[in-house]
Amino acid sequence: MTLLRASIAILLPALLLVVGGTAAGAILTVRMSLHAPGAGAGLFEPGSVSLSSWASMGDAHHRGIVLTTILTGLGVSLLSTAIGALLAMLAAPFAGLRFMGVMVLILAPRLSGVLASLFGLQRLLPRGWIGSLIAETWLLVPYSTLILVIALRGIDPHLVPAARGLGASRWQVLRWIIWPLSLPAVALTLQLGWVWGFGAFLGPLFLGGPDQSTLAVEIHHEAFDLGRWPRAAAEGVVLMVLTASAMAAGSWRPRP
Amino acid sequence: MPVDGLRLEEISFHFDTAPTLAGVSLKVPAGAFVSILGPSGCGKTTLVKIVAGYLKPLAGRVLLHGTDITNAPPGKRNTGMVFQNLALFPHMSARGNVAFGLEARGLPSSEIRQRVEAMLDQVGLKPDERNRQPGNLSGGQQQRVALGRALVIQPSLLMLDEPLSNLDSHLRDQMRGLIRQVQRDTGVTTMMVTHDPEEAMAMSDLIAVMNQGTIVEVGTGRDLYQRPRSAFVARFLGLANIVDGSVIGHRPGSSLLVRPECLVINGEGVPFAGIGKVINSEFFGADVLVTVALGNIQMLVRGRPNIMPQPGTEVRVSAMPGTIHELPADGES
Amino acid sequence: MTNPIIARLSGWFVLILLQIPLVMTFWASFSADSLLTLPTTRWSMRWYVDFINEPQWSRAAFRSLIAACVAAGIAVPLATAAAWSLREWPQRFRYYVLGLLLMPATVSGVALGLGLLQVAYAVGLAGQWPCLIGAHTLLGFPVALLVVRMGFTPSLQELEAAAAGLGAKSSVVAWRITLPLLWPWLVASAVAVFVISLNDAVVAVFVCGPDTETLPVVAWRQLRHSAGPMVAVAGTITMMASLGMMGVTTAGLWFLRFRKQSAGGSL
Repeated sequence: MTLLRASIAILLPALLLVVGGTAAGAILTVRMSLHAPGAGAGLFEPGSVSLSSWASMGDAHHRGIVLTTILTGLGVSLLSTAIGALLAMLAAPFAGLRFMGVMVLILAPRLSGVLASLFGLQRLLPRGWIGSLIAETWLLVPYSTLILVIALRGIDPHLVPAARGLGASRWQVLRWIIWPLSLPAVALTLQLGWVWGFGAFLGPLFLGGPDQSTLAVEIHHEAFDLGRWPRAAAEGVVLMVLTASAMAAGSWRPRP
Repeated sequence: MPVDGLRLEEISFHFDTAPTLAGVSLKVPAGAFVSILGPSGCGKTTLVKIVAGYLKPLAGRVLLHGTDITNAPPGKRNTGMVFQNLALFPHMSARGNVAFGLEARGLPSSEIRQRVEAMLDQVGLKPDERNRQPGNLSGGQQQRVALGRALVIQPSLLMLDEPLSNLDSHLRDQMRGLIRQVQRDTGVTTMMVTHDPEEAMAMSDLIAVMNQGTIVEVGTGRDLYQRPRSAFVARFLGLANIVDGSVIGHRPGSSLLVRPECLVINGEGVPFAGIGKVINSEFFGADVLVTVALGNIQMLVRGRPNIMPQPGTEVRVSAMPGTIHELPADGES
Repeated sequence: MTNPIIARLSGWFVLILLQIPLVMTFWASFSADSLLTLPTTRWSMRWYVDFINEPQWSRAAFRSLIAACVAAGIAVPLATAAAWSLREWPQRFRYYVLGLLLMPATVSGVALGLGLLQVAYAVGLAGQWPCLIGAHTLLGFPVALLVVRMGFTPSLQELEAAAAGLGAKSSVVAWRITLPLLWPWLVASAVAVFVISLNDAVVAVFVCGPDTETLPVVAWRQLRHSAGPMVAVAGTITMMASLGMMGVTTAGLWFLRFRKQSAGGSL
């Protein structure tokens, strides 16, 4: 039993950091949303309690933003899953060094070049819905591809030769063997795409116009450009609720 | 002139990591069951992949019922294959697995249903098992599904890649019988790859022994076991005593083969190298294996369980008449 | 290969497409004219020189580097400790504890940044170094945990059991068996945290004050208004640093494994 206790003790700092950071952050954000707005140049009124920020959450402006957030999330999820599937089908059959090479190419935009990607994307894409969606998808494709590649490589390698030997064409193999066996992974990718997509920030910010403002963009705007922390916090809570429900909705996906 | 079932002509192949196949040729009569027998690394799996169409040979041809299928893709050769690990589709039922090849050909569903049920009857899968997925079927049931899946498309050639190696001995006996039965009923030319000589001898009409990328000998099981043309084949087919001719008064330099079960301890027969000392006796249930030292050679004698001499005893070893076989001088060892 | 040819071709097409923005940034950073119009054939290092000479940028780059190293230095030991202790937990608890530890990865960057800003403000450390380090450690921790966990293979467990059976105490086993066999994974997770921290633009924006601005934060402002040459340089530097780090460690690990194998050892 002492080993278990020792291991709990060892685990503690990590647990503290993680839970402390995220949970405390969430709690304080909720608390902040209940503050009154700061007088004059102040960020908020310390010690106050007010529902004024929440009252404004229901207005047309915010409704529009929530809608944009949801649409962006859905769109990004679908796009990144589709493109991820294409790239995963490409990468999965490779082995050894060539596999690593292809994976590096796939992961490069996210791993090494968030800044670099955004700089390039800004010059290539028009601002607006196209820019916002494509840019955000760009940043998510590496992750979706990773999940789908792992799933594809988990399929028994003998199944495809067996199916081909029985006379199935390449499309038939895809539809009857590969697709059904990768469904759980596809569902997971769609779900995670939602979750990440709802938090879309860099894409809409740098390549979207005012109509493509998502919650995340709005939060940043309120907190830094306008200095209204209670409202930013309220929006943050809405974002967290949205993300949490996206994750919860995922528990109804088909399990492997 | 009757057309051969399967004909391999001078098949050559070469990987950097897998054994070379050097000029492999074989003629298999239609409807015959042939085993490709050999140790691991001899190239038998590579050969099967070439015949099945997953690999293209560097030279040579594969002819099935007179048609050259060397370059045809696996799905278009009219061959059926049972993989070593079965490769059953985990997300489909037994029925679904068997129906797959027919569905891929776009046959009408009424015909598919009929043929699938008939095949499942033939391989002995019970009705309540047919809707289960492979994960819910036993090893033997899975084997039956794999066999049915390959046969329902009515191939001209059935290939089996080490079908019995992963089974325990009871299941092995069952499946051996089933495979042979179904093969006789359907009359399909069959090629089985195995490293187990007993399996090959029990099931095949013809055995082709492979070693290091070539076929070293072809014959019936009985011919290969009793009158092999090389020491390698002799040893591979079963326990063998191979001694120089001078040991029993034949001309020196000749190689003599006598199987352990053809030797007798303290009995009648052609004297074999005289009196020896027992080194070891092993009890196998149905018989006993005795190791006897005769001069500076050791002989294995297989006897009935009631004769089990203790180590150290002196015994007289003789061979039953007509069981000594001289290996040809040009055979490899 | 067994996929329809259209799928393969489109896959390659997309893969090449993915690299274009990166190539553009790389190219632009070496372009000689200030408008950064591409394609250009006039090469120049002038932007890099400017970058180094402008303290706002060069210091930010330096800070990014420091933050990445420190975050990796903290996240990896914590992740190793967590992964090690997780093995001792009974199955059902393990699932929940793991979920708890992976929480930061599920929260969106902005929500995380906002929350951490609140925490920093509450303890009076808003915009200070501990805040930045803590944030990046938090960000990198889940990935570090997942990578280190991969190193705890069943064969490692067998070796530990063998050592324990020979009479070694658990601390000895951990020090002389587990850790030495785990080190490639530790290096890999350190590199992962390093790269994540270096590239983080979202959380950093929320958590950095004027004294701790990392490179992405400084580049940020320019990106919003008019992407100037400094951004291209910043982007290229980050890209090279990340890729270089990953490349060097991969090559190093591969080389060491290769040498170990040819010397008869097995890893």
